[in-house]
Amino acid sequence: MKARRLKIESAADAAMASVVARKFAQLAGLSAPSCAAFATAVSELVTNVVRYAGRGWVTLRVLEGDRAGVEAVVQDRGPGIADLSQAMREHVSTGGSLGLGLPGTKRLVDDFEIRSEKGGGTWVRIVKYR
Amino acid sequence: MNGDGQVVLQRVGNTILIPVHGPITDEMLQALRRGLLALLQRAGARGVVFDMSGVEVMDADDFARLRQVAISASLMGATVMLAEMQPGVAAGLVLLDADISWARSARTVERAMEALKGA
Repeated sequence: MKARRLKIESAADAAMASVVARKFAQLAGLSAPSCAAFATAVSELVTNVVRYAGRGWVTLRVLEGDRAGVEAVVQDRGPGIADLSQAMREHVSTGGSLGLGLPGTKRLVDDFEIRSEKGGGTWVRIVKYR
Repeated sequence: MNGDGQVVLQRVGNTILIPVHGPITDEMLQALRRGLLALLQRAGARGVVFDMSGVEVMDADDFARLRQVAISASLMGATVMLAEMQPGVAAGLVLLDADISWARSARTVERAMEALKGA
């Protein structure tokens, strides 16, 4: 069980994905706070999928070798993000429940890559190293 | 609380103790709000303590929804405290820039209960 793909179609799927993400982080040998950070980042991203795209997937993977850690790829075929640089800017929204929370998600992990275009869905890859 | 959205509310003196377990779902929060507000009306408790030790993952959205439950309890006159939050969860909420201004917190449930005695 070194990789797993989960469908995200509901808030319950999103909650389950964050639990599985935490299990993968543990499997990868991350510290407890790092496991929490990774699972929280996955939770943020899959919550966006449910809210803005309706459905999508997350693929979780344990990375081995020199750069051991845990990876999540979250993707959807939703409306995409029209202005990615604006979405990545700090304090575009405040109050927690509005906005995509992407800057905060990026702070929780070591690697953060995002591809998106209006109408073309969104693809995000995050990694937390051991 | 468990996966069926059931909520455990323990009354300890003038305080209601709520063990919160992840993952946080809408069903759980709705059951929690209903149960808590009904108990506040019935029992007239002055303090509410959320025992967060069972929460391993909490994103900004979960925290904002928990805040709504806490604020509705405070509107009914109860003082709400969070206790025993795990380090990774606390660090994560700060990195996510979650609004934590509403939350009074204590390291342990006992200390939260102690702080609420004068409430």
